[in-house]
Amino acid sequence: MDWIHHCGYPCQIFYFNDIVNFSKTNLFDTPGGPMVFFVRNQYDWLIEKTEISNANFSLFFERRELLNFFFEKINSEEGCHVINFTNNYNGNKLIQLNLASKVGMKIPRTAIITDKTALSEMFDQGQEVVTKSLHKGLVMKDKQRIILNYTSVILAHKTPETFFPSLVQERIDKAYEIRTFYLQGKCYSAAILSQVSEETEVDFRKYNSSRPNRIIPYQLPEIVEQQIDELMQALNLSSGSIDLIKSRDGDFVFLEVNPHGHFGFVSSHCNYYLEKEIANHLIYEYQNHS
Amino acid sequence: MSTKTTPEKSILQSLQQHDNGKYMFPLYFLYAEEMDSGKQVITLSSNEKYNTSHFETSPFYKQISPLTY
Repeated sequence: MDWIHHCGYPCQIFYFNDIVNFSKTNLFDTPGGPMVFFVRNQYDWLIEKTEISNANFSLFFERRELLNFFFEKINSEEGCHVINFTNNYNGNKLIQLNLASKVGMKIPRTAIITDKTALSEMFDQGQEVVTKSLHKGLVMKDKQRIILNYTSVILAHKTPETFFPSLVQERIDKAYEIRTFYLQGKCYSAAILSQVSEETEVDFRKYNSSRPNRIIPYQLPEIVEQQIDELMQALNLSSGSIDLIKSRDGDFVFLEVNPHGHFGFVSSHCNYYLEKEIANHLIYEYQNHS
Repeated sequence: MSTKTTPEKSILQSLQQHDNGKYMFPLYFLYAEEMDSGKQVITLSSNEKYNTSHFETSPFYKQISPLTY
């Protein structure tokens, strides 16, 4: 945003609270300013300390509907240019995996299962299996605590006989993880050496703050960048953050796209100056399509 | 979704409980972690040395200097 202002253009960033405040009086008006850059779509459930309530789920869906409306509205306004525009389609991990496979990317063996028996039927003996959310995942917090979920290796002794339909995938033997920020056909990649720490070897987001993973600039092979470009076009995304694994077998394995592209750590660790790239992109769009 | 808990039981324990195979959430809830809200501190740099020689010889390693910008 500072870059856009520096270049002499107006810009607005909307967080959820801003949208709620704006919607109080101007629900069907243009949200002001010729450029909009929506940064984060946070689903923080405020929960009571001792009881899980159906009300939380209702709030979640109420909130989502408001955001969907707001996204659609600003995306259709002349003069408003939105990157990381997300919807129920391009944020769906199964749709992403399906399309990634279609454009030729390698993906982990994936299944949705509801019982313990299916685990042994679907995967070879000795094959480690991970589970993660179909949606963004569990983020609940109150004033004192926060509950987070990560990609986790399934432990047999912890697995109930039956459960809610769950996403499971073969665990890929990682050499390292790659996070790619995609912006309008360009890939900015970082390698995350997450295998140096037991804490981060399955999911690097389980930060080891005493010995943080080293994150360095990385150049993907041209063919992989082309596949990412095809995938993002198929998902109708102009930007996003793509999770990949470089396997010990030498494959580049696609995991998922986060349409709300977290580019900060890729930019800062790799000196990509992505803030400037995004500003330039928005200004270009504004100059050429307004 | 009417999981009742005693006041002593944490929210996470409530989500993760399953008796006799009866469990109502997706598997990933079982591996969720609870922490203090203020504990999520991400350290962006460290003076520790890492052995990355195996990596830096990769043809895909990208040499970027801040001076190029």
